[in-house]
Amino acid sequence: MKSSYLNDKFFSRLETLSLNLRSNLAGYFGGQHLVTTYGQTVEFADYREYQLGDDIRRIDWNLFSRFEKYFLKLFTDERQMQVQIFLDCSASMGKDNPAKASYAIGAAGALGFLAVQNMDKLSFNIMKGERSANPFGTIIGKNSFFRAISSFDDIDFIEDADIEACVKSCPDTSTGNGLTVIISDFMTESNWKKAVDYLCYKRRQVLLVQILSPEEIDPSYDGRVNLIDSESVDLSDSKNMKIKITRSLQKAYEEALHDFKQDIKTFCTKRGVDFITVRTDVPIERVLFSELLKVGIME
Amino acid sequence: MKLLTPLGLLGLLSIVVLIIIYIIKPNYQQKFISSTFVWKLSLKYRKKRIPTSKLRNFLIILCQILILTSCALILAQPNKILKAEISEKEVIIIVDSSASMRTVTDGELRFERAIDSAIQFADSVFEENGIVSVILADTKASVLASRIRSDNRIAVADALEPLLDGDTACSYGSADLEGAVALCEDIVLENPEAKIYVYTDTTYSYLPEGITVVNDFCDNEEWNAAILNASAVLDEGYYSFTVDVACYNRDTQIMVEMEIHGANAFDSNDAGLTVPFTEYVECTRDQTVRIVFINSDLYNPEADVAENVVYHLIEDADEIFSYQSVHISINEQDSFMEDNSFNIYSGQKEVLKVMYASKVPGTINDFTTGANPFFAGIMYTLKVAYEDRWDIQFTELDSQADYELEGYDLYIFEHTMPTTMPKDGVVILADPWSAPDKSGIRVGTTAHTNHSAPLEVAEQHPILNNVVAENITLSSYIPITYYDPSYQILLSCNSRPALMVRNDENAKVVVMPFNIHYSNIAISKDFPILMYNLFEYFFPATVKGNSFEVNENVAVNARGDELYVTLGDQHLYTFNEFPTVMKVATPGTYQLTQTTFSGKNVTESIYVKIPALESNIWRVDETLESPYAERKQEDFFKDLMVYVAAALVALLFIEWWLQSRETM
Repeated sequence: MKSSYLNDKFFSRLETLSLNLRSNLAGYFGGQHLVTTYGQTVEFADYREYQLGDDIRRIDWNLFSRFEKYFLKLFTDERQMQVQIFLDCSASMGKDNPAKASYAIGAAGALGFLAVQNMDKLSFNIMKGERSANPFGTIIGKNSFFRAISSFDDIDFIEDADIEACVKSCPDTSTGNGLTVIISDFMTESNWKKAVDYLCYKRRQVLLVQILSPEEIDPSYDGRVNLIDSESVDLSDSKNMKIKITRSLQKAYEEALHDFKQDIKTFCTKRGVDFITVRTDVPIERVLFSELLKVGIME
Repeated sequence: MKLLTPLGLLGLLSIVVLIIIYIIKPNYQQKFISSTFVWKLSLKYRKKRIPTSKLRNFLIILCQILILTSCALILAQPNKILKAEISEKEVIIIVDSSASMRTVTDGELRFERAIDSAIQFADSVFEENGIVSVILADTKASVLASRIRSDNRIAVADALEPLLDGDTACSYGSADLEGAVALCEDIVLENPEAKIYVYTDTTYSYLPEGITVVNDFCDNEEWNAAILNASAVLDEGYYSFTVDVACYNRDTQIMVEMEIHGANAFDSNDAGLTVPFTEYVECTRDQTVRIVFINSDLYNPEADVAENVVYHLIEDADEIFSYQSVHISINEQDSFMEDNSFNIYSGQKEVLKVMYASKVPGTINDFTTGANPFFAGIMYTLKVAYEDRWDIQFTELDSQADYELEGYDLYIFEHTMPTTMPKDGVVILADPWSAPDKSGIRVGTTAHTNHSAPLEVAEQHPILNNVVAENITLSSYIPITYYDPSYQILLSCNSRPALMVRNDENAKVVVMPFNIHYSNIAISKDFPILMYNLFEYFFPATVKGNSFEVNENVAVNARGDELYVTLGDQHLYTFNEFPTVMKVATPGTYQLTQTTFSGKNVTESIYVKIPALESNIWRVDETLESPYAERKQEDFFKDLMVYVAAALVALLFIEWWLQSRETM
């Protein structure tokens, strides 16, 4: 039931939405994203003087009659973008918290749907260990999309995931041609910031989606607790903690979490990267219609 | 601080348990979470902000250890010693000054030997820089020296050395050893470690801790043959004599000699006979043997059989119907001579002359046939009642011409009155139709009451003891129209005197201004009681008994103004107010001489002996009261439990507060 969000009713509500990508991206022909380059669409963009070699069929003769000079009429171009969705499939994302896994898959599915709806190319990259897998290949069109998401139930959330290594090792990351979404809780020792820098270097639009469960935001347990990390190998793993949770420690946790999120936000702001953090107890529709619209990634 | 129950400190073992608990620690609750990433970050935050957490944990453990320590201390009953323990040796010397300490060996009294021993002991204590107190257990215990230190050791010597003249220092009575031990309480209160050494010849079956009896000055060869008691009994007109003898620390045959002086004298001019008796008795150690010198006619060999009783039969020729004194002695050279003789003086009876004048007197010797039996009957009753004390001799007169106004102890005038009052003796004026000259009263004519009027008590007086005035009624009386102020009105009828008494230097008069034939008094029990009280009031016994023990308080009364007491040739006391109490401190024969208000010189003798208990020179008693038992725990220790408990509560509160802070 990890893909419990992914149903017809859910997707039907997304019909009216689309991804809003930056217009300076380069892409393939055939898409629906308007770009700043001039193309063959019917959308008027600008005029410029005729130069040798230009197609004389594009000369605006009305202007010639007025100014007796040759001007070409320019039109905007529409391109097909590549949308990469990196889904953190480490244990922390859902091994012991199916709701969190389901939420992450739902978010990935929703963003993927918006991509294919705009005739963009879509790829789901499952991050596990140090490598990301693309089990469904490049998805174009809804038929391919729905075939892909039908297999989401098979995704296991185990082990840990090195986001940096996974992103860098992804073979189909093209330069400046689309959007890369990383869905994770970012609670990892790996340097995910280098992954973001790498994507920025590739001039890709980047969206970070941090998914947190309510228990992670406001832990309700206290006293003497042996915290078993879901990514730990065994009880003696250094990731586990024996700790006495007091009121002051809870407060420290709140501050640590706040600073952690603020750090991600600051990092993203500096690099023009979009970042949202969501709680799994908030309906996913609200995230799509509120948070993503707010950051402008969706229109 | 002193722990009354040191075993309570075993509770400290709980600290070990606490440490073990801390070592083991309770299991942590396992919680599976997505990631500990943020928790590890938060640790850095907490460490920055709360550096005192380790200190708090340490304080909690410290509090818990202190709480367990407090509990253990409470179990151990902590007490603060109020009186600091005195490391110096302190002794209290009690010297027994009882009569038995007069036991002699080689010419030296036990008492003197005890004093010598005590002085040596005190010196040894002073050599160790100790403290010495001396208490003399005399009739009344007294402290001779209190807590004397070695720098003032002369004070102990000054207290003890005068006692070395034991003949005057040692008493003839019993010693108040209990009182002496009680006097130690104050010293023991100051220093609970003070030891008490009792120099006495008494052995105790049990002695409390801290008390030691020293009797090494007693010679085991010392023994005593003693006359414990003796008495004479008049039986069927003849005297029997009982003598109790005993021998302590030796089985021996004792020769008991008894000499009766002034025996069978017919009158005061007759010196009487001296009759000696001798009896040998086999005395078993520490057993009392009774010797009964009894008239052979009264001896019943079948009935008079008892253990440890020896009968000495007095033959008819030696029968004693009166005697002046009896001297009993045992001729033994024992160690204690004070009880080897005894005197009995109960054989002397003073003559009391009574004149009874009435127009129609009863016959006292056969009052049942007399015309006026009431006074005669009472006189007969009193004669019998006072048989042991008085030889009451009656003279009955019915003619006024025969009345004598001198030479009697008691004059009773009924109906008929003399013209003048007698010169001596006590006068009873019953139904005084006329007032004798110098009587101090004037009388009217006989008055009648409408009904039998009861008497009322006008003033409480010894003469009215046990007399119920309301039971006495009169139908007529003689009103007293005047009376001397020296008269006391005891009873009244219709506000008129019904019984008056005067007792001063000039006259001793009782006025009964009514005819007993017109009263129910003669047939009521109050009449003999009234007459008995009159006798007791005007003719009191000088001493009640003739044998006393040393230090006994002897009640003394007199029928004159003065009474002299002598012991041998030594004048001891002169008494002028009576009744009084005389303390007899020395054994022997005391003579009490007085001139009665009737002008007679009377001398009575009593014998004072040492207490029978003191004759047992090897006495064994049960125990002495411990002065330590009297001391209260709180006098020496202040209970600190309340403070420890308060600390415990405070620690519990602090521990709770720290625990509550720990979860914050």
